[in-house]
Parts: sequence; structure tokens; C-alpha cells
Amino acid sequence: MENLINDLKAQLIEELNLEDVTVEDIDTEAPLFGDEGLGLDSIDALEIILLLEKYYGLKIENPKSGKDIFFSVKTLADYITANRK
Amino acid sequence: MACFITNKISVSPQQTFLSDSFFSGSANVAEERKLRAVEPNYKETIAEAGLRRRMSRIVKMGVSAGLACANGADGVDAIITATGLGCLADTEKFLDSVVRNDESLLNPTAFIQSTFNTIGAQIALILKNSSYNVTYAHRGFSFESALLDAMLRIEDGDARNVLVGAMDEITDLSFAVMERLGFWRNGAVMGEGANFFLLSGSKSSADDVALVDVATFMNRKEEAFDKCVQGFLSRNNLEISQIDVLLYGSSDKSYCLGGVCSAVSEAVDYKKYCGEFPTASSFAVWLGAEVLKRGALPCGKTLDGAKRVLVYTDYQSVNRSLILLEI
Repeated sequence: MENLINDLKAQLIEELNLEDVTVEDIDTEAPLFGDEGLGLDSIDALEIILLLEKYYGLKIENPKSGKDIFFSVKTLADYITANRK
Repeated sequence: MACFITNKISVSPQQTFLSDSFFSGSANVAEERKLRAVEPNYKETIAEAGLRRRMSRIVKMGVSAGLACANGADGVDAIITATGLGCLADTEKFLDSVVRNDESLLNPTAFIQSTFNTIGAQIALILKNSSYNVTYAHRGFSFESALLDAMLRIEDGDARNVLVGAMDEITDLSFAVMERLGFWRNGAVMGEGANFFLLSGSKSSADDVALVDVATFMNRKEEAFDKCVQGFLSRNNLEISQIDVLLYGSSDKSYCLGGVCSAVSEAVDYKKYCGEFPTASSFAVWLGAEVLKRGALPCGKTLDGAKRVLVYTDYQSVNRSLILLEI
């Protein structure tokens, strides 16, 4: 799980071009969106959807569940673990 | 009615961004036939990391120059930008992902940022400016079209202050493609930059340079263009001898512009400083205005009492333009 979380953080930094942010800077349980945590926005949400498909072959089947899945790195990792084939 | 350049900012292959070094020091030269811009410290010019991280090089250059130019302005009533080829790096990134991923999994950021009006829009968003906002993408006439629009808006009383700028960027792919098309024959080097101007209907200081006239000419052979030059000077009630400095940007070094080259006391090939790109004339206008204001040419040579600069630009023998500056 820890490897997956670190991989996810590195992929987020790369795909979202998070300047001056390191894997260590990202709090695993902090919110990804909004004013707290990383402060991502709706375009980043699209990028994360692509990231999940590109690296893990996963599609978000139910858009309503996106808010919970995308809450933090931890919730993303849980979703990947539960759904990766 | 003339417009006045009340502020001007240049990001170019020379030390021009908020610096006097270009006029006092030596000029940077091309490496591998490319003149790449000396870029500002973007952490200083675009402080918000959340905005900066999505911007490609051309967007950062353009936004940095635009914001610095608008800084301190007494209102900006229009933002008019120009680019010949637009945000090439983002366009290449997006098209590359289309091919590599078989038209699926397309990156939204590169697509959004690849549009030609990205820089004008970003400047407006940052300045919270909801005024007239237009981008001209008319290849070798892009900047001239933006200038004409700005002059018309000021002359018609639709705007007091207009932020006008132009930008283009080098990418390795575009250099290679243009090389195959023969763009770099005759020793031309590829250039890039972002040049912004704050134009106003009235002077803000005594030494503001006037943008007197702009004219564009499409597909004119040199013999026919000689007459265009004469007509341009006539409509401004000028003789050739009244032009003090000619800034020319042409791959044909033998063309004498209807005798202007031999009549002026100083003729400077401005593209040796900025390279060749569709909006290179914007660098020439920045340079011309600086020359008149400083009474000096780049790299140290002083001029005595220069009053007028004529900018002549030839882009691929298709787009030719004349721009007259006066102090």
C-alpha cells in the first residue's frame, strides 16, 4: 500500500505539473481539492481521471462516487486497491 | 491621430526584460541556429504557483510581459494580443497524445492552453479585466493587425489605454518542420519572444514615442514594394531623408527598400537580435521606441537627435509591413 501511495503522489506531481512539490510534501489523508491540502480544481479532476485509466486501467463508472474517491491520496489508493484487476 | 507608447516590455533573446543590459552590453548570439528568449524569473512575475504550473513557456513569457506592461496603468480598456503560430508546445503535446493514445485519454490542460487566445485571456483573468479582448493570428501580419485594431479603438474613442502584445515560441519540432520547408535558408535563425505595449491617445511623459502609422502589404514583389514605400512616406508627409533610423528585418539583405537603406544614417538588421518569427516586428517596435527614447543604438552606439524610426519587416517574402515611430 505504501508503494502505491508513493507512486500515486509521484504521478500526481508529474501529471499535474505541481511545481516545487515533492512526494514528502503531500499529506496522504489531506483533501486534494479546495483551499486545504493541494488545492486542486476541476481541470485537475479530469487529469486524475486520465491518470487512473492510463496507469491503472480504471474508469470511474459512477460519476457520483468521484467526490469520495478523489477526496485524498488515501481514498484514491483505496479505490485502486479495491478495483485493480 | 497618433498613439503614444506609454509603456513597453520585451522578453526577447537579449537582456531586455526590465534591464538596460542590452543597450550597454553585448548582444546574445544564436546557438544551433536558434535565438532562445532570456526568460524572466517566473516565480517573481507570476507569483501564484497554481496558475503558473499549467502555463507553457510562451504563456509564461506573454503573461509576464503583459502584466509588467500593464503595471501602473491608469486602467486598461482593451487587451489585444497577436501570435503567428500560437502556443506551439501545448499544441504539439496535445496532438502527440492524440496519436500516441489512439485518440483517447486526451490531456485536457494541453488542449485548453493550446488555443491562440490563451495569453490574452490569462492576462485578463489575472487583472480581473473584462474589457475588449481579442487575439489576432494572421501569421506575418498578426502584430500589425493588433496594432491597427488598437489605433482604431483609440482614434474612435472606444479606449484610452490599450494593452497590445505579440508572442511566438521556438519548439524543436517546429524548427525541424520549418527547416524542411526552407525557412532557414539565407542564414536566417529561428527566434522567439513576447513584446507588450501600453498604447494611449495622449502622452504620459514628454519622451513617450508616437506610433504614427502602420501599413501591411501582401505578396508584393520588390519593384512594386518600392512604390508602397514611397506611398507610405507621402501619406505621412515625409521625404526619405527625414527617416533617421531604419530597423529592417528581411532575409533579403540586398533589397534597399526603394533607396531608404542608402539614405538613412543608420540601418540596423533587427532580426539578428531577435531571430525570425511571425511577430518579430513587435520586437522591432520595442527596439525602435527604445532607440528614440535613449538616443542610442543597442550595444552602445549613440545617436544625435534621431526623431524617426521606420520599421520594415519582410516575413517569408509574403508579409511585408512598415511601421513609423516618432519622438
